Amino acid sequence: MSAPLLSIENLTVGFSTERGPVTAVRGVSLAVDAGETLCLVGESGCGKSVTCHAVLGLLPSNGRVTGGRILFEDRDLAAFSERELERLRGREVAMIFQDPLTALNPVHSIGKQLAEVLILHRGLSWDAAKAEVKRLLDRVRIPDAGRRLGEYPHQLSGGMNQRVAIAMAMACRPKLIIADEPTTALDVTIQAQILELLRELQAEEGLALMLVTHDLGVVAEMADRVAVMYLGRVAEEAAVNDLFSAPCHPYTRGLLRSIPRIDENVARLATIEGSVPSLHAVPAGCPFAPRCENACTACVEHVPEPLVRADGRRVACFAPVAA
Amino acid sequence: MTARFFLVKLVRAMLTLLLVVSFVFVILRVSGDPTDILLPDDATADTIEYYRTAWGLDKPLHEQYVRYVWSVLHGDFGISLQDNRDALQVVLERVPATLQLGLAALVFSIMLGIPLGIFAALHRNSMADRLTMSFAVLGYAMPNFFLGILLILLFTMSLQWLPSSGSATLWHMIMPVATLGMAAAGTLARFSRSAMLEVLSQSYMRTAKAKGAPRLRRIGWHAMPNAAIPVVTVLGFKIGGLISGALVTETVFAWPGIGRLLVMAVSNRDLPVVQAVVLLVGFTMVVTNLIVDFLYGWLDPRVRVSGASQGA
Repeated sequence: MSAPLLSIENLTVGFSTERGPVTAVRGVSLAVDAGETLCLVGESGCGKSVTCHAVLGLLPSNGRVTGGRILFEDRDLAAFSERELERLRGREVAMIFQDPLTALNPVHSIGKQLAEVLILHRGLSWDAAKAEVKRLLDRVRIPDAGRRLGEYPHQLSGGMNQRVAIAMAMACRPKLIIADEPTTALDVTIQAQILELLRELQAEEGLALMLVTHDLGVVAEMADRVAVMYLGRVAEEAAVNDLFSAPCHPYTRGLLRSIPRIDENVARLATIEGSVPSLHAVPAGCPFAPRCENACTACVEHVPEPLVRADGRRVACFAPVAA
Repeated sequence: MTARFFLVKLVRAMLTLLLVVSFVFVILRVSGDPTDILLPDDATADTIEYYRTAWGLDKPLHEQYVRYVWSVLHGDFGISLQDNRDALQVVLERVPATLQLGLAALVFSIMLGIPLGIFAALHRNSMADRLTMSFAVLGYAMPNFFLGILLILLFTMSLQWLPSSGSATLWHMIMPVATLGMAAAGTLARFSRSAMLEVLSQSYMRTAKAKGAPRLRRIGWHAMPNAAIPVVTVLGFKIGGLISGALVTETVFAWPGIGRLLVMAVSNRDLPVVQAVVLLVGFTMVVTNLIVDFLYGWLDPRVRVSGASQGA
């Protein structure tokens, strides 16, 4: 099998904060093949967004990649200069953000903002870009694209703005799109439309998708493979069906149990006891140990390394759930 | 809708002017009689009475007021009590000098303040940022009469580089412009910095980066138009500050503008001139605010469009 399109190897990302340095991502390894969808799942603060931002060098100024490699088509993005990253961003790897209204510039029309990518990366003239922008807006099913060109983000609905953001990401036909909770800020019906659109475009263009979400419904809908993250580490990575039918990591099982089911009448929703520890007080052993039902002595003392199992899943656990 | 927006602004502006005129009129009349100052101490009661009648000061206050507003509406600002000429003409003669000083100070404060603010924002928390902001606070906090005198001491008395009074050459402009513009430059620097910092932390700036836009383009095309919105508002207020600052600055540097004229007219109780100056200043401020309102709409599509489509 050929090398994956994106291969994150042992990535570590640190932040300097007022309360001292923290490590938000600790030795994360992930791979995305061409054309496939990898979902990153986890609670807030588990490092899923930071991992994505690190890929494109979009970490805030107090954050830094402190270890590991980010190989995109065998080039290490972690070692890229700012100039090299500028050429890559939006052209080979594009990104879609959570809240489409704030992610678009309020003082420029959506037409101009879309055209900017084309002018920057494809060297189009403004006129040529305008025709292309119209085509892109049609492509993401924005009705009456010719008129919408001159409108501003605040004149469009959240769903329409997210379509614009998707058009912007697609503009240079990238090989990989990283979507950071692209539907979290939208209404449920709009969410479904946006996911549908992403899937269609992905199939047509054959692009790979790295989708960050905390919504397991989105995962079930979109993912080929899923990586569950907890406190800066990958707890479990598996094909989507395997993960849902037989979770191996106790944390994955906890997450799946806490989804309300429509076909069962339960008095109380299952939850995972306790809460996610602060990044300033990460447990010495397995980060999930303090909340884990299966935890043993080894879990408290040592960090479990992710092991690849026969069926291709990776689980970082000393006491996995029996299949 | 825009026509109504404009009309409301206009009516409000007229009301403001009327309030200004009325306030000044009342304050000046109750604070002393001009004949006390203009006529010699040994003037007879008959002479005083004669002038009081000639200038209409013998009429009840409300009658004087109605007559004054009526004639102002007809473009008649009265006769200067000091040199017997049309008060408006006396004031208008001085306008070019003040305009020259004020505009130069405005340009000075914009050219100095805004780039400094942006520079400080882009180098946040660095030594350069702290130095720039200390300078801005100093410029903002130092009273302009004090700065003016300091400059005269340094550049006229010690170094003998620059002339300290009058408006004959370009050299004469340097110190008054710096004195007048410094406070506005300081304020603009502080506001540009905070506006820029606010904008730089916005989500759309990250989007711009994710699109592959180079840093200069992100600052120039994405950040600056957004940061300009609050800065323009402050700029409108600062123009008012420039006018009041002109009073002091023109006096310190003997600059022949309306500021110095006003100071002299007040001490001479030359009521028509004082009123004409105040009305002119008020008019300038009101017009400036109107311009700022429209600039705001031009800069911010959210204001422009919501103003036009309200109630739709």
